[in-house]
Amino acid sequence: MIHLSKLAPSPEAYARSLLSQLKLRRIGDINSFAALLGLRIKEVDSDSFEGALVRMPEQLKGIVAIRHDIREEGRKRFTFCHEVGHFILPGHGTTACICLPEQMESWRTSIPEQELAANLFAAELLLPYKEIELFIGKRDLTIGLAQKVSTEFQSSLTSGTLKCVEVTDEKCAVVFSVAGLIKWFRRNERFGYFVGVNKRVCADTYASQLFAGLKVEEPFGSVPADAWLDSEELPSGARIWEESILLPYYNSTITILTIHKEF
Amino acid sequence: MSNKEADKKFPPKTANDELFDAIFGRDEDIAEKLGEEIMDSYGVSSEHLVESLKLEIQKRIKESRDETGAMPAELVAMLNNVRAYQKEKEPKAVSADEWISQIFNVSSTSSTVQPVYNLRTRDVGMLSEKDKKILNEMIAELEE
Repeated sequence: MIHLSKLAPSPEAYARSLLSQLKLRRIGDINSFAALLGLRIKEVDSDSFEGALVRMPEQLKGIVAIRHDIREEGRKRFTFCHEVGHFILPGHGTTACICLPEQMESWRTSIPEQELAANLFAAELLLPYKEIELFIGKRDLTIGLAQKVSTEFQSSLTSGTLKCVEVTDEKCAVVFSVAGLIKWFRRNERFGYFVGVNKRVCADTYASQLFAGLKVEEPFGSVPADAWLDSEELPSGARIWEESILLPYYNSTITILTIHKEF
Repeated sequence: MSNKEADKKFPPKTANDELFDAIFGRDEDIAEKLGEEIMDSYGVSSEHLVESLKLEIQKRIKESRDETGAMPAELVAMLNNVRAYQKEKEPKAVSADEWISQIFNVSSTSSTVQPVYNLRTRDVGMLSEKDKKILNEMIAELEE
């Protein structure tokens, strides 16, 4: 059981400690990394779960199962890191577990605490904060930069974007929408607003145009702030910078919101 | 109160009860730790049961709130009790470095340890036969 108290280290701290213990800056090839932990990866033809961990209690020995038809290599790597989280994090490791597709790379607060903790652990293991900080430097956060990060660190675009938002000095948030509905959002500590979830994407946004199947050459620009932000205190005429990308296979969009000028 | 005194409150044991006692041991002799060991051997942990209970209560609170528009006070109190219990049982915080070092210094090589098979996010009954078979094969591989 997780229930990490406020005094307990964060899941990310465990990921950093693990890399440090193994004297690695990045995990590299997942099969080699798994072997360092006494784990073996097995691709399986499962119906319902995306990842599973079966382990020997109190031993560095286990098997991580990953569904073989996960399309993206980045998602496979994230799933592996998520299971490593269950293997490593205190209170997770005494049992086996299976993890469902909707819990992977999800940042909705409604998912079980342990799954959320394993996601935080996985994101840091795959995309270490310090490494990303070095990689992005002082560059402006764009979808293009997030794609470069994802390629360099072999992560999914979702994870890469999230980590960039966390690391950047800009006031940014990332919004993930599916079939025209806002599913979840995450902001960095400099971004002082909320985005309402489980609401339809507003028609004034680039994301909405992408969902509508419109050909948008440059899906970025300034949009009314209230098209995204849930706030009673927005001055009239306030605008926010949006950049969105459509992931057609998932019928989803990833949106980066940036506040260039305080309202 | 001794176990013997407690026995007086229950009906006398049948021949079958006596037989099961002889095979499995008396219910009264099962201490909490032994109970946990037995549950462990079936891949069930008390932490898992408590977590499942918490999720179930959270679900019912949400359902009740959606139906009536009010928070069900008794369920909320129950949820707070479960949270308090979990907090009490929470492992003492150690630093992440310390924890990771401990993991790599594990010395248990006991061949009697069985791989565990417990599904955190759903009941075994909700898995397809195919997926159960996959997990059982993984357990068998680990045992080899």
